[in-house]
Amino acid sequence: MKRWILPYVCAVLAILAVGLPLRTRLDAPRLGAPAIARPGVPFEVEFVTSLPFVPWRWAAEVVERQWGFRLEHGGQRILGHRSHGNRYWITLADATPVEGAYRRPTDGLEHWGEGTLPDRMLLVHAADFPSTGKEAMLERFVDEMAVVKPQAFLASGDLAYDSSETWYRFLLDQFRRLEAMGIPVIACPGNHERGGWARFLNHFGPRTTHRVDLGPFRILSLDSAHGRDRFTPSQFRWFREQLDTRSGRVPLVQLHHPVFPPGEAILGNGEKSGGPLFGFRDGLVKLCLERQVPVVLTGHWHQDAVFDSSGRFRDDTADFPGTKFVVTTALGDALRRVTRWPHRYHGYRLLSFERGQLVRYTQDLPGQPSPTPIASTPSGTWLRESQP
Amino acid sequence: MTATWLLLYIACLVRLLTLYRLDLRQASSFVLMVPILLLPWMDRLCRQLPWLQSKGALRVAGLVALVSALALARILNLGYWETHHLGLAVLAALLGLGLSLVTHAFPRESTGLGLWIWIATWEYAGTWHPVLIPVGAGLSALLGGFGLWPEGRPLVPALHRVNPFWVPFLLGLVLPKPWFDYHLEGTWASVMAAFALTTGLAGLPRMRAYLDRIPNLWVLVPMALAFVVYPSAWYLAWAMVVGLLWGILWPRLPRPLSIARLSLGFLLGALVSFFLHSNLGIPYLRPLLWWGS
Repeated sequence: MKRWILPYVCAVLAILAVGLPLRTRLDAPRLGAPAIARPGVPFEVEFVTSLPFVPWRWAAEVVERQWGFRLEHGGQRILGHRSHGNRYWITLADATPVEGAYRRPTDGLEHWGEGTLPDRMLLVHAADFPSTGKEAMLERFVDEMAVVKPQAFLASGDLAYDSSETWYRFLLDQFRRLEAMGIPVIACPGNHERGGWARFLNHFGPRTTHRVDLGPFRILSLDSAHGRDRFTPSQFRWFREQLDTRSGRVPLVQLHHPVFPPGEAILGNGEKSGGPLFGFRDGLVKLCLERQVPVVLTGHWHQDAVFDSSGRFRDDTADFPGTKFVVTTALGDALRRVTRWPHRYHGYRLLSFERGQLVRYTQDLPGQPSPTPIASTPSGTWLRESQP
Repeated sequence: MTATWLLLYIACLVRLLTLYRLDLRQASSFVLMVPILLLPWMDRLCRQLPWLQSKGALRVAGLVALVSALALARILNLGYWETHHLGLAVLAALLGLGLSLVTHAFPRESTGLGLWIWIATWEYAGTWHPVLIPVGAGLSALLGGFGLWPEGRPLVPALHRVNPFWVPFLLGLVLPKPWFDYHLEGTWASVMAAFALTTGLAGLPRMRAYLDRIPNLWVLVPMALAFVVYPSAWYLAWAMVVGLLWGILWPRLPRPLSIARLSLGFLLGALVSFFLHSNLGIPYLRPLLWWGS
């Protein structure tokens, strides 16, 4: 074994050469996966260091210096810490009371202090964002959110058809504008993010599957674009665990790919819209039914659609029992005709909840019954009208 | 060195490329593939240009491999690989070329648990960050090039023989499953470490005395089954079974090892595995891919 001493000494030197000076990567909370916690309720900051097994105090100092925030500031205190290899978790809590619904993140740490949320909550869901050349559409959408004032914005993938740094910078600027309005952004990746995967991960961090607890909700964001349109076993196991430990919260799920195929509702070839979710679809549907998930939010088709848990296309009524598997039209990318639903427009979806119960998820369209089934909110609606 | 080349370089490269994707419209993709595209000609190249195998050339190759690996790891440590970045592709290609030259100079595979612990150690380092694994490849090339690689006793080939292309193909089909499952989580690196460690344990003389008697079919069928039966939550147990099977098959590969056949077989297997786990949409195969999870 003596002959292996030299290689291992060289190995240690090589790892030191790679890792020094010590650097860190903040993994959570990040933009798109914020930590939202009531005053005094603990939340975790997770980061990795360029070298393993360094004392946590040193690692914490480096993460503060590099990311420009203080772990302990104001009423925020470190409650505990743990580490594994080069991964560190520091538990924090902020006892400062929050005036209004939220205290927005003011530094590099995406921690939102949760105040008193109203009984009636509005969430906005969108997917398939506009791309380079259509920046104004996204800016108008953010302007519209200033009128709508939702409690959170859920972005279900295909945020970056253009994976250039310029686009990501613009996208992040718009997300920061939403945050400045007091609207936390909760995002998951779609298949188009895979085109510039490194860039997406750089800006949104490596937790592509994550959980955000917000008021009465547990918002679970899933990454359905593994191998294009499927979950993996480890991800599905995580999903089940999150549903099993939701401590009374109402689970809401977002992922990029529609859960069900258009079935009999398909129109033509679906205009190259790609398929629905493949891997673990039956398991997902069963879990959603058993754990009483009110709504599963998806995009990808660039057209609205709604299915019930049997996979039936529900253009007959907006109100039916069980989980609603919702597809929301494109916020800005090309519109398509995938199903027999006749309406096509750019838009987003407003979800209205009363004390955690889903009461409305469609928008009434002129000349259609009220509530109109399936329909999302056409872009610009609330720029022209008053608050919903 | 062949095991190091296969598991610390080829496997790592394939994993990173399946994660970050190759864009064949980019020059960087072809630069990245140079060490692999040259594989079928490396033996002939080394014969026709004997200076490539001289001490000086091997030292330069080893040094280039390590420096490239360190540069690559310093740039990418904690970050993500933009595969269209030409500079990064050149570094990865230089690492591959350096290691390939050194590996072709030392085709004799030594025995011993030490080699597999070395591989397992670097695979485990991948739990900290995946780019640390190529540092292990670069360091192995340097040690080999400078004659400092700890040589063990030559491997005693087993009585049974297996195909030097299709058996690595099978490994390429099976081994990437945790990569596709765990994606950005470091768990896949623990799987690789457990796999390498068990392969080494299967090569211990007492183990081999028993394992060498097992007929090929009894090893190949479970290996093929491991492609279908993958209990995700029991990833370490799965890795140890696959490692044990590979440890039985490793001495059965014909010696001297054909690095090109071994590598291309593994690469083809990994490629097929990637496509099968992706969006081919083969109706009856699809539910089988994650059977047991």
